[in-house]
Amino acid sequence: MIFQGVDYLKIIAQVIGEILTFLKPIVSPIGEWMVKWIEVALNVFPTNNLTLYMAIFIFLIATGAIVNAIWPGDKPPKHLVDKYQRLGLYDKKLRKIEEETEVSTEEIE
Amino acid sequence: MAITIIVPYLTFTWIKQLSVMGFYIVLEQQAYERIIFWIAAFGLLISGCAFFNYSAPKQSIRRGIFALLQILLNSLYIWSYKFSGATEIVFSIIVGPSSGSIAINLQNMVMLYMGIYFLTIILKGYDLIDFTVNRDKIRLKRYSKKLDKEEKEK
Repeated sequence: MIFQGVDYLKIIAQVIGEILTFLKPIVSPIGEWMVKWIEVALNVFPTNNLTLYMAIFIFLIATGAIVNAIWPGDKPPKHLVDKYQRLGLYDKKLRKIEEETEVSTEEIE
Repeated sequence: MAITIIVPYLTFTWIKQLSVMGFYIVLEQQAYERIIFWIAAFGLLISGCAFFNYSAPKQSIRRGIFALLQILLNSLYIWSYKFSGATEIVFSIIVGPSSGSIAINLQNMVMLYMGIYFLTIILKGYDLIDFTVNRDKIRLKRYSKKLDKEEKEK
């Protein structure tokens, strides 16, 4: 009603409508199956207490900040560090070997 | 957080009492409260998972787990609109002394969305398996990038 006067919005709505109509027979049955398990899952969630959701939110934010700050994921894999040390090679050289030849750990050993 | 909580909250608050061409359309108070509860509850969970997901290293297992969790919660969030009555919104129309009601049924559209979410769940599941199986290769690649960056900085 508010947007009906704008032509390009009408065209966009028609295109989206066509796509959705085409996908409906394929996607809707899957959607129905999804609904079944979701209805079961929704019974588990408390419906009258937002405090629990807030506590989970704060926990996730705090844990995310701490875990991802301590382990940013830019350290070399432990098995490779051991391998470098055993072989007496320095990081970059072994990295090149790994990248260029894709030789597995077992083969190098 | 803006998309999952603030925008829906403002939208439902806006349409709670809407005037179209002189007609007053009123969203029933009970339905409004239920919708706002579910928006806030799942919005908080989704925002928490999204924060964990996007702050985790790329292609890490923890990122895969939280991305999958986020999409599962998104499914619950979308369906909770139906559960709360939002897929069948009943508006009361008040014109002077007489009144009536309009019901908008969005269930089919939500069902379609659920199908799309299912495909996304499959994709996220595949990503998680991929990150787990190729963990060493991914870590090595990530470490190489770090070394390259350090090299350039020198």
